[in-house]
Amino acid sequence: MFFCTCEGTIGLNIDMNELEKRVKKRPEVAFTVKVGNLCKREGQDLLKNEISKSDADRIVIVGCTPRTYEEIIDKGALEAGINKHLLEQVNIREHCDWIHSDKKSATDKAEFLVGGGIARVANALSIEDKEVVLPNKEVLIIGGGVAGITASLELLKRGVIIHLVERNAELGGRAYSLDLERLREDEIILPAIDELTLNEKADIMLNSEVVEIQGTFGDYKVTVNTEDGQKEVVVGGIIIASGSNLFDANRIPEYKYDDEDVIDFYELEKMLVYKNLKVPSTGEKPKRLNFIQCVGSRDENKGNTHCSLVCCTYAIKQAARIKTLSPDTEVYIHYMDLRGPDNGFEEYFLGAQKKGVIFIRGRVAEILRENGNLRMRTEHIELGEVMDFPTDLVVLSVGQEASSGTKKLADMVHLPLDVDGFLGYYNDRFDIVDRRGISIAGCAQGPRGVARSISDAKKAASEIAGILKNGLKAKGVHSVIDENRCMGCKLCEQLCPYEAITMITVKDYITDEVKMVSCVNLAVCQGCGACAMACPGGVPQLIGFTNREIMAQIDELI
Amino acid sequence: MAKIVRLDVKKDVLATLNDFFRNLLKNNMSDALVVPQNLPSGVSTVQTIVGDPESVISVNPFAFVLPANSADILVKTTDDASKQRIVALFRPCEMRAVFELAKLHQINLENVTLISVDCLGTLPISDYTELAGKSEEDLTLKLLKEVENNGISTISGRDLRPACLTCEFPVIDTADISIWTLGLNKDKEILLSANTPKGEVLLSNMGFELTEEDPSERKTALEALIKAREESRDKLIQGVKEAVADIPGFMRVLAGCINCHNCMKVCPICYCKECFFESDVLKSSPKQYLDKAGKKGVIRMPMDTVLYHIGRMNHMITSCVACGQCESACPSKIPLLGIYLALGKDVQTVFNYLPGKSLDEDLPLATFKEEELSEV
Repeated sequence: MFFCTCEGTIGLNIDMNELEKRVKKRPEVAFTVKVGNLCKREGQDLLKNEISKSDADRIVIVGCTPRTYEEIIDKGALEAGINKHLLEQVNIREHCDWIHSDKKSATDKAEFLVGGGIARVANALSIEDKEVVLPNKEVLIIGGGVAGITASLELLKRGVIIHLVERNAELGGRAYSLDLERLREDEIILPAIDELTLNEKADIMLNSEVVEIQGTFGDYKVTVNTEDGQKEVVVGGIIIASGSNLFDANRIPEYKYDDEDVIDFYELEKMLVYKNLKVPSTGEKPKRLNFIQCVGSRDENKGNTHCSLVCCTYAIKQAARIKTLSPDTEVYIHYMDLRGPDNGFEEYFLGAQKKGVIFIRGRVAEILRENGNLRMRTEHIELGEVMDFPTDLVVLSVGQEASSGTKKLADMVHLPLDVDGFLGYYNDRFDIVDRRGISIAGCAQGPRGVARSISDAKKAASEIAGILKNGLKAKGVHSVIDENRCMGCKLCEQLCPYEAITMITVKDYITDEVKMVSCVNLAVCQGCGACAMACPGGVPQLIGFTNREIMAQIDELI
Repeated sequence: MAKIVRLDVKKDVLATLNDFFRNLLKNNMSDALVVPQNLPSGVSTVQTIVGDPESVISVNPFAFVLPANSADILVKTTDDASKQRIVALFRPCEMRAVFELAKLHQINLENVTLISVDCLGTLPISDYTELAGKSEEDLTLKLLKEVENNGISTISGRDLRPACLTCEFPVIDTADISIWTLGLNKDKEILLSANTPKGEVLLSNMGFELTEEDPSERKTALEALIKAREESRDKLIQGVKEAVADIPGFMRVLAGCINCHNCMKVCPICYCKECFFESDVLKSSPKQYLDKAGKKGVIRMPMDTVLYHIGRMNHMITSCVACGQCESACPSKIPLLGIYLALGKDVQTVFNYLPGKSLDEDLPLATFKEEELSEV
C-alpha cells in the first residue's frame, strides 16, 4: 500500500501517520510506504523496488483521483509485474483531504475509503486484454462519389473485398463534373472509375439503396435494394461516403434563381469545363458577372447555420478562370468574409485580385429583372452605402447541406447527427472500435472539398482494413452475460450505447423452450456497465467491476 | 364507438360465459384456453389451462377471489417459437401484468387472444374459502347479487383486499376483447367489446355480428367506481407516506420482514430466472460473517432484508401494476401495497408512464432520451 502525499498537498486535513498506522493492522496489508509523487520517475522506481522486494500480489494506491494519472500508475504496476486490474487507486485527495476540515472525521472517512479499496482489490481478478478476430472481412461502402471510389480502391489495394452501393446510375458523384486545377475528371476520376469497375473483387451496385442494416462490428447484415431486386451482403465494417446536397437556391426567392441568367456555381462549372461561358438568355459572353457568396450558408433564417467552407476558394478559382478565358468580362465577388481553410488560400486570393477580380464586402439584398435588364441591390460595407448594380449573369455560390438520406442512414447505423444535420459527430473524436466499425468519409460528415474527401477516404480505408486483417485487442473491462440466467428481456440490448449486445436464439436443454438471450460482442463492448445496471437479475457481470468486488467495497464503506 | 356483441343470458351469467368459452374451443377457434374455473370442491376459483372443450365446466371470472396473479401462465405457455393459439381470460390487474411482461419479452402475444373482464374486486383467500365453505348456493352468483344491492367496499361484512379497494383499473379496454358487465343487467345480457382487429376477427369467426354502440350505463358506473377507489387509494398513500416519512419510520415498517421472499415469488412482474437476492453474490462465508460481526459489532439476522426490499422496489417500481399479491402473501403483513402505490405513483408520474395501460408505450428504462430528469 502506497500513501502518496502529492508533493505534500495531501495530509493537510487527514492525519496521514494515524491513517497509515490504522490500516497497517489489517491482515491483507503486506507493507505500507509513504511517497511524495508516484506519478514521477522517482515515485515509479520506488513502486517497482518495493513490490519486487515483497510477495505482495495486489496494490492499493492511496492518493489522488485515478482520473489524472491512472495510466502512469498502471504502467508502473505493469513494470512491477502486477496486472493493472489488481491495483486500486483510493482517492483521498478530492474525495476527502481537500474537502473536509475536521481532522478526526476526515481521518476516519479516509480509513473507510481505504478499507473499501482493500476489500475491492482483494476480490479483483487479473484480466488480460483479449484478442478478438472479426468474422467478416469485407467492407460496405455507401456512396460512389470521390470519397467512396477512393475508399474502395484503397481497400482493394489491401486485398479487401468491397461492396459499393450507389443511388445514381453512375459513379463519380459531384466531383465527376467538377474541374479543379489539381484534379480533372479525365486525369483522376475517370481512370479511378475504370479501375474500380474492372476489379473483380469490387461488387458495385448502381441505382441501389441500402434499406436495412442489422448486426454489429465484424458482422453486419445489410439489405440493399438493387436493380436486380433485394440483395443481402454480409460485411465486417461500413464506410459511409454518402456525400452532401447542394443548397437549393429557390429557397431564397429574392435571389431569383428561377431567372435564366441566375445560375449556381455548379452550372457555371459545366460552362467552364466545356469552355462555353455565355449568358443563357442571349447566348453571348457575359460583360458583367457577379458571384454571390454564402447562398444558404451562415443564414439562420432562410438556409443553414453552418459555413460551407469550400465556396470561397471555389468562387475565387472560378472567377480567376473566367478572367483567363474571357479577360474583358468584369467579375465581382460579393462576400461577407472570405474563409479559406486550406494552405495557399491567401496567395490564391491575391492572384485573383491581380487578374482583376473585384471583391465587394456586403450582403446582396435582392436581384431584380426590370425592362429586360438584370440588376442587383447590394450593400457595400467599405463604401457604407447601398448600391444598385447592373449585371448580365449572376452566379450563386450555394453551400453544401446534409444529403436527403442522411437521417435515414444515421438511424440505420444508430449514429447521431451533428447540429447541422451531418454525420460528423462521431468520426474524429472516437476510435473506430467505439464507432462499431463505421467510418464516415467525404461530405457526409460536413462540407469539404475533393482533396479532403480523398484524404478522409484513405484514412477510413486504412483504419478499417487494419482492424479487419489483424483483429483487435478488446478492452480488459468488459461485460459477460451468462445465457443460462439471461431472461431475454432486452433491457440491456436497448440500453447499450455501443450496440455491443445482440440477441441470439437458444433452446433450453431441459424444456426445449426457444428464447432470445443477450450476447456481448467483445469487439464493441467498452465496459461502461449500462447492461449490469439495467438487469434486475444481475446477469451481466462487468469483468473488473464484478458484483463481488463492488459489494465487498460497499460493505467496508457502510 | 365500441364494436359490441350482445350475449343473451339464459340460465345465469356464468353459464353463458362457460358456453362461450366451450364453443371457442369446440369450434377450433383456439388450441388452448387459459380461464379461471371453480374448483370441484367449490371453495375457490383458480386459473386453468384447458385443452379439451369437455373440460370447460365452470368458467368463472367473477369469483371474489384471486389466488394468484396468473399473468405468468403466459410466460410459461409461450416462447419465441410459439405457434399454438391461446385464448386467455384475465382480470384487469392480471392483464396489465401481461402487457408489462410482453414488453419485457417474457410473453409472446403473437398467437394469443386476450380477454378481460370488468372486475369488482376480491376478498382475502381465507375469507373467501370460509364463505364458500358455508354457502349453500353458488357463492359468486350470491355475492354478485349482494354487491348489486349493497355497493362494493365490503362483501358479506368482509373488507375487500386493500389492492382491490384502491384499484383505479377495475376495467381494461385495451385487451383484444373485454367482457362488459359493469352497470349492466347481468341477468339479462353480457356485452363483448372487440377492442383490436384480433378481437374482431375472433368474434366474427365465431359467427357473431358486431354492432357499433357506446352503452352509457357502463361509463357512469365506471366513473363512480373509479372515483371511490381513487379516494381510498389517496388515503392509503397518505397513511403510508406518513409512516415512512423518515428512515426510522421506513425501518419500522419493514421490521417484520422474515426474508421469506414470498413477495418476490408471487409478484407477476418479477421475471428473473434467479433472483439477485437469492444468488451467490449475497452469500457470505463463515469467516465473512464473523469478520463482519467483529468489525461492525453486530449484524442483524437474517441479513439484507432492507437491501432486498429497496432492490425489489428499484427493479419493479416502473412496472408495478398494484395487484397487491405481495402484501397478501406477506406473513408479517408489511403494508407493501401502500408502499408500492405511493412510490409507484411518484415514479410513474416522473416518467409519464402507467404500467400495463397499453402495449404501445415503451418501458421507461428501455427508452433513451438525451435530455431527461434535469431537475431530479
